[in-house]
Amino acid sequence: MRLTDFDVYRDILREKAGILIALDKTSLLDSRLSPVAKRWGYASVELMTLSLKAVPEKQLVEDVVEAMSDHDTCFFQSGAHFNALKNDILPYFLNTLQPFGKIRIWSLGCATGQEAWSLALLLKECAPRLAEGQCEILATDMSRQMLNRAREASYSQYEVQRGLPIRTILKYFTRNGDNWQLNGTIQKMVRFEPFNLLKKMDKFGEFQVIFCHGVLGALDPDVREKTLKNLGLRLAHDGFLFVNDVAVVPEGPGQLTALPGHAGIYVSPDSPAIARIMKIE
Amino acid sequence: MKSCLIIEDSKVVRTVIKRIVERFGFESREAENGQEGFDFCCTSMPDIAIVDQYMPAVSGTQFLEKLKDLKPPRLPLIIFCSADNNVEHIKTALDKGADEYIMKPFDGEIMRAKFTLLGLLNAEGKSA
Repeated sequence: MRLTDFDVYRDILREKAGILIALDKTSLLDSRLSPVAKRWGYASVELMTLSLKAVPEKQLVEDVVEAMSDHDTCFFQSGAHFNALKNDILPYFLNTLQPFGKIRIWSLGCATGQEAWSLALLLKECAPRLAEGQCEILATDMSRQMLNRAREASYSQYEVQRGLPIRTILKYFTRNGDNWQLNGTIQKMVRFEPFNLLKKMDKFGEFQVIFCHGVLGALDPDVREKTLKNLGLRLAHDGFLFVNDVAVVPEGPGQLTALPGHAGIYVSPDSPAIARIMKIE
Repeated sequence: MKSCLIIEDSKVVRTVIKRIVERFGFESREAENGQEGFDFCCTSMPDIAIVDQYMPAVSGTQFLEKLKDLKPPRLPLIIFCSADNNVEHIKTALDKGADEYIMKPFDGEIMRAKFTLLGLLNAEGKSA
């Protein structure tokens, strides 16, 4: 790929998704964009680039952003975070939630949905009282194609086996040809919505738990800082923000503080949950 | 070093599994059928056994039964690994004592996920 062509894609990704790509990713650009060029009827990526420069058609730009975003995910990825949720954080909410209170959970950048379904499965298994109407799980992604796949909740044999215990597969999935279909009771627990993190997130309200996994690493540093600040504002007073690419998070992201003993979990400095979870009380 | 016994009649599959578990930091031993696997266990119990169902002489589920009858002080963790992906058969293997089940075909990532679920690997993918 020519350097001037690289600039076209770098600008699109930065502007539309806040994603930063390095020059050494040129080969990745070629391999991921070839299928898009083919689908749109261009004989080569170069011809598609020329066309994008002349008329940046909205749908084509969306397809390019989608092809360049990382979608690789599996069930219960970042196991330590799911363990913390199960052992410390869900018990905290089980103890403190008012009878009609709700725990609101957000899976940001949900891609093909495994993280959101893992959250639903964890609640169903470990906090059935919350799963029965005291929880709301929102999963967002900027790619509509990904959201459609996530909503379908149908996974290949490879996908279900990456992260799910066999007993969970048998209990909550039904075999459908070569795929495994998640049962309706779990499907009802998650709401999927398109969302681009360059846009305002106030409309979603406040959350007790935000999972922001595999999102921050690819972002332009400015966008990352703004995103963390905005996520901090979306967090309930005693909420928890989970981030797996900790290396890129500044100290005190968005006025939050790290939860001691838990890598990648952030809370408000005066959160009443800290003392409970650290068992200081 | 933790040990892994691979009970599987196909040499190709045995070799694939062997490469994967050695990468996880496990010492591996191979058996061609359930009887050979059982004999291995009588001399030295592995930490984990990866067991195929269909094998000549003694099958995977028969191996599990024989192992239980032996009443050893410590049973290895068992991952069943079979191309038989019929739900009823999977349940039978679990009822007979399998801790996990891998539906073939599989890859290193799936094996890693199962080892992690059983607490044999930690979150960093190191032998726990």
